[in-house]
Amino acid sequence: MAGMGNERHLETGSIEPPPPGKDVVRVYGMKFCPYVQRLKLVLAAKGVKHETININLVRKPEWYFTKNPKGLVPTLEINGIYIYESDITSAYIDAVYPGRKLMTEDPLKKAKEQMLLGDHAKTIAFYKYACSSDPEVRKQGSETAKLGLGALEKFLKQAKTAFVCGDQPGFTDYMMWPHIERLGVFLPDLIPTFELVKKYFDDMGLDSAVKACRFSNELLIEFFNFEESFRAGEKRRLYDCGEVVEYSFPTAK
Amino acid sequence: MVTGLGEAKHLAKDSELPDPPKQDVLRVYGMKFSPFTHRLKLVLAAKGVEHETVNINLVSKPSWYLSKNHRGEVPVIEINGNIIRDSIVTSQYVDDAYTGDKLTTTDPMKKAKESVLLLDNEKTIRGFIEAAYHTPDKQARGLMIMKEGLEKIDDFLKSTGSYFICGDKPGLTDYMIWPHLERIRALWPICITQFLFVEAYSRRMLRDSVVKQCQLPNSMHRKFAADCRKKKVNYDMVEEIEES
Repeated sequence: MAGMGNERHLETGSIEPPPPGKDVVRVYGMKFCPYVQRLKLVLAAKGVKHETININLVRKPEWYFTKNPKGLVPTLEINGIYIYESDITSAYIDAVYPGRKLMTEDPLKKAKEQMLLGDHAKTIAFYKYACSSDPEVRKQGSETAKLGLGALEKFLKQAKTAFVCGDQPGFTDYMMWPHIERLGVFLPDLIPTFELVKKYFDDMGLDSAVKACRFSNELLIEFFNFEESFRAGEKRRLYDCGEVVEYSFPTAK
Repeated sequence: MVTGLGEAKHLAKDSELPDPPKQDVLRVYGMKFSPFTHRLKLVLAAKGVEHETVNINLVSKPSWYLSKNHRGEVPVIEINGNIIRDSIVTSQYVDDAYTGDKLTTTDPMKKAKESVLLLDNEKTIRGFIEAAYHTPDKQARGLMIMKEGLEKIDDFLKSTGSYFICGDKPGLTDYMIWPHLERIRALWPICITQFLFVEAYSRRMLRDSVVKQCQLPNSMHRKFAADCRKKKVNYDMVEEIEES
């Protein structure tokens, strides 16, 4: 089962779900979280069946902290073992499951990709700014995002490959994609100003793993608008945007 | 063969751009007392990789250095016109690119747990930096954060029951963590001894030939920290005779 998972987001006061079956991969996530999406992209690319439990990040269930002491998503649970952090869980899945290895092996290429990932952090920063009502702050966010996209443009120009990892999307492509996808939605005028990044953006859009985990722009904007009202002080936060799937076990007390 | 931390003079603002390294020669831009450079040096020593060292005066950086690394940080590897930066990325590169024992753990679950430990260890580093740059009366908060990180290492060693973080021999993660432990041992030995497993681990690491090759005397670590606090760093200081 691919995709971000439309499962209902469990919150404070909910019943702790029963553990997953033997050898079953379980992901604790949040439907619209870009860090969860990294892991989901890798799971989709490797064709790994898994179950999803979504977590309300504003009203976290008390039991969730026994899975991940920091209370963050994603967390992976397999046979009673918990692993967390988006890059660590993704690397684990790539290493353990058969099929195409997503991780680049050539030492120099791998080092260059890791440095790019570090520079990419500048596109992540835009989140803080993009939801501000202050145009000056939004402008700053846009400038910061441009630095990240500039680094990607330079990389693609030197690498001369369609994707960061080569002729097909690989690990680093999937680590970077969630934030680039959101840039395309919220700052749509930015990406077209970079020739190679624009082509990359369109080519990634054709990848089956990317397609499996992608929401419509409208749904992302709907979620983000709720996020913006939340930041403005409103108490509600609607994670269960769009389609909602219920669990087969009881969750509410 | 240049081993250890490298005794090269630290190049400063007035220095000239050195000629690029010859073909296939690995050059490290570093700083003798930097724990991050230390990480890479440990890995180079463990893999037996011959290399040259150019040391950088980080307080008065050569203007040409920013063309090597726009962030101006060390360590950086330069090889065949390629620049690689960041202590972990460079260390990983050396382990991947050179023959000999692989230092990186291959078992995916163990590797994932080591990665989490490395992340948790950032508290050790953050706390260390804060405490080391303050006078003793203002070190409390830094030391507290640092101990939270040390506790994670302690818990890890306790739960795995292994001699080293990576198993029976030191591996990549051991060498990433060691530089700060060496410095903590020099500045606040009690912080190490209060964690049973970290203390035993430190004693084992100190017997490792690679660690010994790159080790600085405790007195030099202490002097460097004190000089940084006073903002009077002498990168090219020689070893003073002091009780270790």
